[in-house]
Amino acid sequence: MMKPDAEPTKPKRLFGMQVGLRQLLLATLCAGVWFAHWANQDAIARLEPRLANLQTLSPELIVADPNKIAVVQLPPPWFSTSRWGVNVPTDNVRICIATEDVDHSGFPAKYESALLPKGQYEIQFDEQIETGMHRFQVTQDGQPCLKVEKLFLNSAGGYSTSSEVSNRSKQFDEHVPVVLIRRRYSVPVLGSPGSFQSATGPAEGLLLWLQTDH
Amino acid sequence: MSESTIKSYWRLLVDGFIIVLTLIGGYLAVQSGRQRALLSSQVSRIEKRIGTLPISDPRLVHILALETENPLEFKWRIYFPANYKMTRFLQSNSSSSTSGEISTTKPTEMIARVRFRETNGNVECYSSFGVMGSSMGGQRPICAAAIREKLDQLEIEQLGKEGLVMFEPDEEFTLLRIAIPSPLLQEMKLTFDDSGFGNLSGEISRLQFLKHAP
Repeated sequence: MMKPDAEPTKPKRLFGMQVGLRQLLLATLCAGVWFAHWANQDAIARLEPRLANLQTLSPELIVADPNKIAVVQLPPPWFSTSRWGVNVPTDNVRICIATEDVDHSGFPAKYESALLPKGQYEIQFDEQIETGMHRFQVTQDGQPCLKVEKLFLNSAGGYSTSSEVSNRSKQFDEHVPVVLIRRRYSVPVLGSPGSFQSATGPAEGLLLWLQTDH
Repeated sequence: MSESTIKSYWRLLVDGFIIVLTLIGGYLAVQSGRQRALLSSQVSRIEKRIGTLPISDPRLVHILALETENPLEFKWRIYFPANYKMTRFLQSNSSSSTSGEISTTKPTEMIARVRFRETNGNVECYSSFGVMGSSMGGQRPICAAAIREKLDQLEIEQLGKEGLVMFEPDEEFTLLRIAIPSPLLQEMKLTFDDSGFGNLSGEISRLQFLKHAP
């Protein structure tokens, strides 16, 4: 028997608003997804610098867009050797070497080159010097693809070197040449035997780059 | 409009708002979750290659040897604290040596490598610390033969091989020591006329971190 003075159950109120079970469940779900997002953001903020540090310690090729050339400089196995991980997006990319008329920028008209296959692989550049003769060899995954010999006149005076790539993987537009090594030998100072100075214009040197045939 | 209709609309509005908020949060949580998973997999992949280096005391030098596939290649992951200054000194059977300074302004991690290879009967050594590399040739014949033919019998002490080791910033240590054991040295002396190279202690190579270059 129902008690005559029994009060009806009062609906729950939150901030003066009537809240049902459905709203509570929805609000819990909402809080859950937002907490998950914040937790992810927090983890990402910790992972990003850690990954950047690791990628510097152990460089690796990252190909975000397979239609672009990607290059990363890998740890050299030897003093006179350089190594790169590359992504070559098409069959018409060449590896080129020039040893004369190497300027601060641009590319000499005279050079030797070899077509590279499409794909991801390692390019290695070896340099050997025997009785003044510089022997350069480029290998693609261990297979020789380009050899150049050069007797430099001014290699004793030192050189300056630069590159467009580093141990952080970088992508390049397909039509843009990518300089792997740009080395320019110093030139003798006129009237001062044994003295050398940086060349102002094109000089002997080594230019190793990737370019696409058009 | 009755009060119950207004309340019904109000509840619908609140529900809709929570649902929209949940959908946005869910979308962001999925996106950030994907990015987190990608970063985690990249970190794991690199750490599988170069190990993890837990820095328990940032004031101390931390050293961990890494596995290599080549028995003539030695690798370490090293942490140097801020303002660290030491001379690394690589000596080769008392006949040749190379040295360089390790100096940091902020905490620095690097991969150190020492590698031996034989070229035209001569064993050369290449060492690199981060971006700095140097090579050294001129192993005397008996040491070259020991490396070439008796590698499994040599005494090789690689620091950090058994696990993480730590040093005070001003503490000297030997990173690598390769030596010919006395019985093997006596045996090899019967085969190789090494007298023209002076006394031989049996030590092939020693890489040390010293306060001052000897």
